[in-house]
Amino acid sequence: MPLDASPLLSASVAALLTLPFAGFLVLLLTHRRIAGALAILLTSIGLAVSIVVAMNVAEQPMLIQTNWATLSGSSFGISFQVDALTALMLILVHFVALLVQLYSLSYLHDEPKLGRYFAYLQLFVGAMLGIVLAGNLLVLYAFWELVGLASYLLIGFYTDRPAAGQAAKKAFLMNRVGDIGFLIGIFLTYYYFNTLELISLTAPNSGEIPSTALGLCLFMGCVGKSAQFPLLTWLPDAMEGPTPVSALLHAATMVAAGIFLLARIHPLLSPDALVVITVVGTITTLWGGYSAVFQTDIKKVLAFSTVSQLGLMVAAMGTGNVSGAMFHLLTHAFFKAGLFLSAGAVIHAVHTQDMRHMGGLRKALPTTFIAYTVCAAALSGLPFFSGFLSKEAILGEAFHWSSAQNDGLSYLVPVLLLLSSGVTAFYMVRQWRLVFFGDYRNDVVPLSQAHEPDWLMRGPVLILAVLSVWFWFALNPLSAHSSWFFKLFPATEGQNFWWLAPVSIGLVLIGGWLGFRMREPHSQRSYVRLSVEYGFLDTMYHYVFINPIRKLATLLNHADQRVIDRAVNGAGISTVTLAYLASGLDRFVIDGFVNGLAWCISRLGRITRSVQNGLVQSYITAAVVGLLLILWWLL
Amino acid sequence: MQPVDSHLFLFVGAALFSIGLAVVVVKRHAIVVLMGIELMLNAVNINLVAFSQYDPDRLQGQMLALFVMVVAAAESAVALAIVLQVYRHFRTAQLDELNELKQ
Repeated sequence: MPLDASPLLSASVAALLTLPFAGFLVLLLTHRRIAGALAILLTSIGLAVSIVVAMNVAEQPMLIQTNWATLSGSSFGISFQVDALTALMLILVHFVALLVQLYSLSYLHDEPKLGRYFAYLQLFVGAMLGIVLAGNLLVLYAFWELVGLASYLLIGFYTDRPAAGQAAKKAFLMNRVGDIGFLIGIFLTYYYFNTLELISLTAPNSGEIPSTALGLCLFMGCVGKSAQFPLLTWLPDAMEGPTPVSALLHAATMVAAGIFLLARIHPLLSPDALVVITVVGTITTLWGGYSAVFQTDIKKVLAFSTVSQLGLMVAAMGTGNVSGAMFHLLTHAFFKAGLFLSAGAVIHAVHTQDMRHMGGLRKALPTTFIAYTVCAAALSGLPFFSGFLSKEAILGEAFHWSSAQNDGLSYLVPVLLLLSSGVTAFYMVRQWRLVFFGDYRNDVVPLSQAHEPDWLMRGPVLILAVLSVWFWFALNPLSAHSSWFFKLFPATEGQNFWWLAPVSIGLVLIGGWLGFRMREPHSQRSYVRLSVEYGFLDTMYHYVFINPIRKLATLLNHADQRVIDRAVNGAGISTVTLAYLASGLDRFVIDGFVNGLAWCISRLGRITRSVQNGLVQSYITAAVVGLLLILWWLL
Repeated sequence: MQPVDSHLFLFVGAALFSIGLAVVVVKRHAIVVLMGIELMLNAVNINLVAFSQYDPDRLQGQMLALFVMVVAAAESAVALAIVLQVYRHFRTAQLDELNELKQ
């Protein structure tokens, strides 16, 4: 049974939600000099409160509920739910946001719109906290949309760059596609269960198996936000935003929301829906992995690696491994934020994002090099780093799942996931080599001027690098089974595959070796273009959706001009003609009638007046004539 | 004395009346018009006298003719006075120039 929240907890939740949103409003008006400090202070307070919440979290979920609206018998509540998962996400979001904001202080030092930047960051964080704390799907959806809004504002932060505006629009629209599905899913949920409260929806014995359509609709939300196939193309474009924003977006806020949603609604997913989710996750992993291989933009490689890792998490969700996916989300948050912030340091030093114009930077940027190496190793899944632990947890469970499926085809999923970790190593080592090894290839900024950033930027990077080591998650560097994480979030106990770790390490080493030794192919080769343009997905969208819609728009435009405009003009002309006719009628017939009448009457008046001319003799004449006429008539 | 045919009186009376009427209608000067009126009155008197022969006892026609003369004398006096006043007022006695009756 869920518990009612204690006063302390209620106050904490209220504070957690109030701080960022109040911060958003205040920071919009704050001068740029103190905006950063204020934002960091707010997030620090939030982090402290989150730790308090985490220490007070109980075995059972705790609820804060209030009724919002009652409509003809159906009542909709606002509720917040605090459990271990919430506490974990609260700390993660605050922590990454804090580091990112510290980093931004230095990275965006010269930015004139700094106050607005930090305000948007606060909005982003606040919206994400709302998702994490939400206790029913309605509240979750509200904050879900706020995340979309904040991401739009931040991706398009450089308003003077047209590409940034395009990317922001693209991200927003693609998210809308997913969100529509999510909204329909919420409607379906209410239709089937008559409630939107997560706590009653996910109760263990809630009765019938929910329909597959419901699960898939809810999953649509995750597809949009977490950039799953086929809605993944907004994520690389989102690199137009400032680099710290990318770090936050990829690690803790935006894309994590989709995974978190899946974790929340996992009991609502029918077996068929889970199979679809697994397949989508696997496709995304491979698609993102391959797309990362030949990218030349340092941030795009990382963006596609995020796509790939998110696919891995989604696939883990599909195989029923919620805790494994959340574990990977946690470890991934640290090393991916670390990678992005390091990439930011590199960009800061050489003023370009193109890896073809980097190289040999390990001597110029030693701290960044070390941090980058550690984070990349964690991402590739080398033992002694955090990524290895979470990947093994996911892959082991995936093999366990496919052995339970009694279907040979299902072994394809874990094998492909395993393969993708080799690909991960391949493209990360390629990037590592291109950036830090070989000859320096930049003509604009000489190597002697490329220098480390200040400690405000190096600090967060180093902290994140340190957190990417195995030690923080499990004492055993080769297995996560004894980890504190799985004590908090118990996983289903599967058998251990003794061969999994060696095979995986072998694949990673092979991939890494290939990545280090490979020679850059010509950029016009078809397989390179397939990777750089991420499987021509955008081109396909262009042909399938954009072009027909454009053509339709042109057609409608023509129709508008030819038919509607003409009709309007015709109506106008006929009205004017009619008006002329009416005016003529008015002038000649009605006026003519009136004037004619007046003329007749005036003639008549003149005639009658002429009789009365005041001359006595004419009167007498008239009298005599009249008398004669009467006589003539009488006789 | 051989009585004259009464219809001859009627011819003379009608002729006199017509001449008087023509004078009244056609002439411009107020005094001439008055004279026309006198002619018409006297044409009537002739008729009255002529028909009086058919009433030998009471002679109503002759009596009425006398009465008419008296009244005509009075009427002429009044009319001449009016004409005099009109002439004084308008400095003319031409009927064409007097259209005060219009008002």
